[in-house]
Formats: sequence, structure tokens, C-alpha cells
Amino acid sequence: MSSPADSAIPYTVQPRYDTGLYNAKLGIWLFLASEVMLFGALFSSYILLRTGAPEWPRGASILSVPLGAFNTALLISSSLTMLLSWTALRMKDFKKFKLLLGITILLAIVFLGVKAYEYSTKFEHHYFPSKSTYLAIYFTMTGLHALHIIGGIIVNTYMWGPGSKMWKTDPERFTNRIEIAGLYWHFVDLVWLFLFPMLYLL
Amino acid sequence: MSEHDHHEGHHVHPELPFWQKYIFSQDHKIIGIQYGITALFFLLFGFFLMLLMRWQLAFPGEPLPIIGKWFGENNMPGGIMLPEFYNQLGAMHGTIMVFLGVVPLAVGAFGNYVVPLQIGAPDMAFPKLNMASYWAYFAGGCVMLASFFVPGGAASSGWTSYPPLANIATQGQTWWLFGMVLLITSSLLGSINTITTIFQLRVPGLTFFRLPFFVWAQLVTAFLLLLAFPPLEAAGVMQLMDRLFNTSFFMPSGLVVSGQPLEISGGGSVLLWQHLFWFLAHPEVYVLILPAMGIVTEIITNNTRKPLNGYKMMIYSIIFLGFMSFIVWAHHMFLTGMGTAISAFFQATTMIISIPSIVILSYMFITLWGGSIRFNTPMLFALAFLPMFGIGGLTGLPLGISAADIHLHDTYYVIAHFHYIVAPGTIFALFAGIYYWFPKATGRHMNELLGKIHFWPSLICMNIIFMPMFIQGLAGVSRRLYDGGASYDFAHNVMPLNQLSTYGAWGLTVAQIPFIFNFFWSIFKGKKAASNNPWQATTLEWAAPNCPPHGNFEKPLKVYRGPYEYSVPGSKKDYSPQFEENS
Amino acid sequence: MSLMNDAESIKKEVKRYYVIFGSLLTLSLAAVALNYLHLPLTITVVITLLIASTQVFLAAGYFMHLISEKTIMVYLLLMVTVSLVIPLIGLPMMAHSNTITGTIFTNHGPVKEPAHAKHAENVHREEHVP
Repeated sequence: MSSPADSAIPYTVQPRYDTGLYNAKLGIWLFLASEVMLFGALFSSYILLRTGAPEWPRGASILSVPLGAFNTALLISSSLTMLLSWTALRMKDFKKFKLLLGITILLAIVFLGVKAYEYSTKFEHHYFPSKSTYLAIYFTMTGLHALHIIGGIIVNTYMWGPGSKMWKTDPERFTNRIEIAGLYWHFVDLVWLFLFPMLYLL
Repeated sequence: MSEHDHHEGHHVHPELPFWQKYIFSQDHKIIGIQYGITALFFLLFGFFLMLLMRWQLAFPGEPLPIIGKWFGENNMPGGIMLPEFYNQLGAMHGTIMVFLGVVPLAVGAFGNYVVPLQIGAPDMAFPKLNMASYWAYFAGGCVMLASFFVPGGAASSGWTSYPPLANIATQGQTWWLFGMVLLITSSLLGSINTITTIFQLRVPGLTFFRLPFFVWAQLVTAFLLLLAFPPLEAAGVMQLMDRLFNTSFFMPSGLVVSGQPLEISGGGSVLLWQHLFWFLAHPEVYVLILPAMGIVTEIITNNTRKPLNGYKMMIYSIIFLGFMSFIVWAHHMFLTGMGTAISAFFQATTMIISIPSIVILSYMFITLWGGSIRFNTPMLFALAFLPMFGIGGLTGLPLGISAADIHLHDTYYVIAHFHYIVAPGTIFALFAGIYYWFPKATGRHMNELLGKIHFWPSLICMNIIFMPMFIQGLAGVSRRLYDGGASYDFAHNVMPLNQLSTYGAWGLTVAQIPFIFNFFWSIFKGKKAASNNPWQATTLEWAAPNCPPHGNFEKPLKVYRGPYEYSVPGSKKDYSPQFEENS
Repeated sequence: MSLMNDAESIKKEVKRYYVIFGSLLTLSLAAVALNYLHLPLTITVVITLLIASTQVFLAAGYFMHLISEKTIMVYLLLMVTVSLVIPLIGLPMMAHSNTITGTIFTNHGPVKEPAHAKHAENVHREEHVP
């Protein structure tokens, strides 16, 4: 006779001995691998378009390096706070977790605000994506990256709000969820660490 | 479609309402069947698109009796097909067969249904994600179908959607792009699930080198889907930007359309699209064949009652194949002006990649030697796969040689080559899989006589349709011509072959009727399976009861030996299942 | 060194995170400063990419705690991925630099504003669209 527990899926919380991972962690790394291919394809396109162009503007001549650098600092900081919110949970400090995750979300929103401001100044001067391939790739890559930030904000807000109820019923699983959300968030930061120099500094 | 009652008595779970149990199910078996039924529908739909095209090719400019008027004045005025409509049929036939038919059936249906059972797992690793990936596929399919009804009709720039043509095409192309985004999302979520499931949920004793070859095939396929699709997603986003926001990712400078220079910035590259598209589309064709190889291996081994020859080599080959498939793509681009050095690179990798395929195919043949062969319906389809895939694969070699490809590129030779692989190749393997696993899913067998009536005419007609196309291609007839080459003098001699292929297609249509009838009739009236393991097989799915309940197995399994221990000396039976301790 | 959950280890871990955080900020600052030096483009590209790569290694290794993974699983996955990104970026570039003369133009033409398009100077490009 089997019980409901037998049809439960193993390794949702405890790592499997030979892979060293619990299921969701392998899942998120696989997802991140596919994201590397996605942004890799866009980087490939950037290189092809740039090397094939007779002229290509230096990023600093079109974009605001101080604003970009500020955004970079915001994202790196949010990566740290995301990480610390996870360690807070491992130290069983729920209040600290909420504070740090909340800061992470706020930093991300400010990032988006700066980005929106940057876009609007471009549009005011009629710098649309259709104007040049430089602007096309700039808007597309930062736009796709911004969509990923929005996705991260949604997930993190859920984890901060309704999702955090799981802390009471299954704290270990909830801690894992924050780890997973963190891995995604660090990846989004990583992409920006390449995007910023490529588009703003080169 | 009706489902058997699940034996839920010994579970304490509350009974789920109908819509949660069968519509928005999280059970991998229900989801697998959802994928299967939906994919079979799309295969049929794509088949009908082909029949329409084949009418035009055999009788160019002739009105199609009765049915022709259904398509309206925009597509077939007076029942006579317009070239614009022909192009829609061509582009959508390819798209639907590949992305909505074969892959969802091979990966979504068979992968989801069989893999957890073959590794002893209660379900896939992420049941909710599984459900999401099915519905994303369904939504993508709806978008693709809807595109036929928008002004200008469906996408008509080939399944390959090359710019600049696809960039300036009618609205249907935008729908195609959105549909692809949904399908790629579905595929991504599915592949994450498959890989995690195979790595994490194998029962004790089931090491990687005791896995059925089918599971290895699904694992490599999932990696191909995971890592090859994103560049196409990126390209799709860029083409959407080009179409909707007038960017020039793929639009070179100086384009003139209908006498007017385009008001765009220019500076883009058409070859950029081709590189990104084929980066996906080449691994995609291995996605089309690998699950089929997995299915055929299971069925051949089972019906020869002896171990699989070269099990380890086949695994190494399939891993090597998977990796190589990522670095051959530009053999689709030999005629784009690539220089000799880079062409030689891609030619070399293309030649090399044929080796693992040949190794795998050879071991399937060798396994037959000395076997005690049972010629049931699944085995017939699996056996037919071998020479058919052989023809398809071997005819790829001249295409992979850049010098020969100058003559053969974009001719009917290419069409014949890939259809031999997918149609009497993969689709036959999928038929074999349906006949083989039907008793596990329903507790009943499909009718053997109807199966044979399905098999023989299908095999013959497939060859009647596609063999002449090699001849046409060698004669220089281009693909995607709406009159089948009738307006070219040099092709005059091979034009009658168009009619031959069309008659073959009509025969193939009739041959599917016994299958469709058999499939649905046998669910209710098929011969009851004698046991949980009616084929006397060795792999884990046969330990589960027929119509497995939620959670699959009555008690946790343990694996004691490899997957193909047939006719072990000293054993009482001619098969020693992996899950039986003393056998 | 796998991650432990006792208070002492976590405190050490957190300290390490602050160090990495500081390094990441410093490296970004360095890249921005480099930009203002107006060195020749090639050198700027190389150094900037080196800085970015170092940041990626630090973030991936410590923030994503790759360095603490118990098995090679994730490394294997990442190695496979990186080994595919390299041909994805490299092979199209090589294809663009090795063309048959006169068949295609990999110089994609003047980047101009649509309003100033002059028909006379546009040449029909013989792009082969198979």
C-alpha cells in the first residue's frame, strides 16, 4: 500500500547525493544556461553589426556614462542585498530577510526609473531604435534586460509578500526558494556587467 | 478523449475536479497525452496543407474541385490556387509539422509520458512547469492557426523566414513570430523539466549506464532544445523590432521595394538572421531524429529478444552527435558567399557528424543479427525506420559537401532528403511508439491487422512520394516554386513526376484511415493487455500497472541490472527486467 | 569549501561577500575611469572586457557560490554552455571575414538617417537570399 508521501517528488529540498543539488537549483542553472545563449546571441549580433558598420559611435557620445555607472552601482548593491537576505534566512532572521529583500526590490525599481528617464531623453531627441543600428541594438538589449529585471521584481515581490507565508510551514524549502531567486537575480546583474561597458564605454 | 479511472483508492489525496484532473493537469501522463492528441491534430492539419500544395504541383493552375471554393477569393479564386496562398501553405506546412507536430509528439508526448516511468519516478521534477509548457504550446498553436485568417494570410516566407522578404511580408509574419515566442517558451520549460528529472529522479540502482537508450536520447534532445533555441528567440525579437519598430537589424542599406527606396536606417545584415536561425534549426533537426532513434532502439531490442549491441558506443555517439550538431549549421549557407576556409570548416564538421549517426544506425541493424524476431506492428514500423532513415541520412552527404551543394541547394533533392528522414523516418518511429506504449497507457492493444493495413501502404506510398523528388532535384528543379517547375524548359522531362508524387500522397492519406480508426476504437474495444508487461520487456515502465495511477508505481522500485538483459544464460525467462531482483 | 549553516561560518561568509561587493564596485569604477583616458579603441576594448570578465568570475564564483558547489554538475553545465557561446560568436565573425570576393558585402553600407536618404548613391546589393 502506498501513501501520499510515496508519490511525492524526491529531492525538492534535500540535495541528491551524486549531483549535490536539489531539483530547483539544477532547474534554475539550466534556465540560466539558456539565458547565456540568449544574451550570447545578442552579443554576437552586436559584434557582427558593429564590425560591419563603416562608422559606429562611441557609447559615451550618445549615452550618459554617469547615469549608466550609477545604475551599475545600484545593481551590484542589489545583488549584495539579495544575497544577504538569503543568509539572513539561513540564520533564521526573518525580519532581516524581509528588510534586505525589500531593499533589493527598491534598488531594482530605482534602476528601472533611471532607465526610463534615459529612454525618455533619447526619445525626446528623436533617437529612436529605427535611427541607427547602434540605437537598435542599444534599445533591444537594454529593453530585454529590463524585462528580465521586471520579471525579477515580480518574483521577489511575491517572495516578499504572499510567498513568505511558506516560512512558517516549510522554512527550509522557502530558504531554497530565496536562493533560487537570488541566483536568477545575480545573473541579471552579470548580464548588466557586460552590457554597461559594451554599450556605454566602448 | 476518455480516460480510464485511475486507481486512486489507496491515495489519501482528495479527488480533483474534472478540470483540474484532465484539463489543467499536473500529472505527466495526462500532459503527455494532451501533447500527443494536440500534436496528432497538428500533424493531420499540416498533412492537409501538403495535400493542397500537391494538387497545385501536379495540376498547376487547375481549379480544385469542390474543396477549392472553401478557401475564398483571396486564396483560391474559382478554386485556382494563387501563388501567394501556395507560399503560405509552404511556410506553414513546414512550421506546423516541425514545431507543432513532430517535436511536441516526440518530446512533449513521448518524453513526458515515458521518461518518468522509465526511471522509476512518480512524476516529472516540476509538475506545474510541465502544465505551463503544454499550455504555452497550445497557445502558440492557436496563434499559428489564427494567422491564416488575418489580412494577407499566414506567414509566407518559408519556415526559414529570411529577411528582407520576411521583414516586409504581410501581418501573418508578425503572428508567426509571436507564435514562435510562445513555442520556444514551451520548449524551454519542457527541456528544463526533462533534464532535471533525468538527473535527479532516477531510482536507486539506476546509474547513467543502466538507463534505457530512449532516456539518453531524450536527455541529449533536451540539451539541444535548451541551448539552441535562445538564439532564435533573440533573432525573433530582432525581426519583431524590424517589423514593428522599423529597426534595421536585418535590413541592409539601399533596399528598394516596388520601386521605392525603404525609409529605414539600413546597416543591417541578412546573414545575421541566417546565422542565428540555423544555429537553432540545425540542432532542431537532431531534435527531430533523436527521440525516434530512442523509440526504435527500445522496440527493436524488445522484439529480437537479445541485448542491444553496442549500448555504450551508442551512448557515446549520441553525446558526440549532440555536441557536434551545434557547429555544423552553416552548411545551410554554403551559397551565401562564404569563403573556402569557413566553408571547409563547416563541410568537415558536417562530414564528421555523419559518423555517430552511422554508428547508431549500424548497431540497430547489428542487433537484429541472430535475434528471435517478432514481427508485430511496432516492430514493422521500427524496422522500416532503418532503411528509410538510411536513405535520408546518406542523401545528406552530397548536400554537406559544399561543391556538390552548389548544384543541389534549394532543389527538390533537399526536400526529398529531409522528408525521408522525418516522414518515413521519425514519423514511422512515432507510429511504432504509439502502437508499443498504447497498452501501458490504455490497458488495451491496438488491432494488429489494422496496424499492418496501416503499415504497408504507408511505407510504399512514402517512397512513391519522395523518391522521384531526388530525380527532380538532380535535374535542377528548385523548391518553393508554386507551379512545381512547370515554367522551366529544362525541367520539362521531370514534370510528370509531380503527378506521381501527388498520387502517392493520396494513397498515403487513405492509408492513415485505419490508423485513426484503430487509435480511437482500441481505447474502448481493443484486446485487453494480458499483463502489466504484455511485450515482456525489461525496462521500468513495464513495472507500473497499466493506466498508471498518479504517482505511477505501487511501491518504490530498485534497479538490479542493465536495461536490455534479454535471453540471459541461466535465466528461466528470455527477459530479465531491470526491476526484478531474481531474474 | 561548501557552505555551512552555523552562525560562525555564515558570519565569515558574509564578510567575504562584502569584500567581493567592494571589488565589484572598484572594478566598475576602474572601467569608467579607463573610458575617460581616451586610449586607442583596441586597448580599451581588451582591458574593459578583462575587467568585465573578472567581475563575472567574482560574482559567479562567490555571489552565486559556484566555488562552494559539492559536485562538478554546475561547472559541467556551464562549460558546455560556454563552449557553445564561443562558436555562436566566433563562427559568424569568421564567416564575415572570409567571403568570396564580389558575392556579398559584409560592410553593411552607410548608416544614415532615413530623412536624408539619397536614392542615387544607393546601389542594389546582390544579396543572395536562398
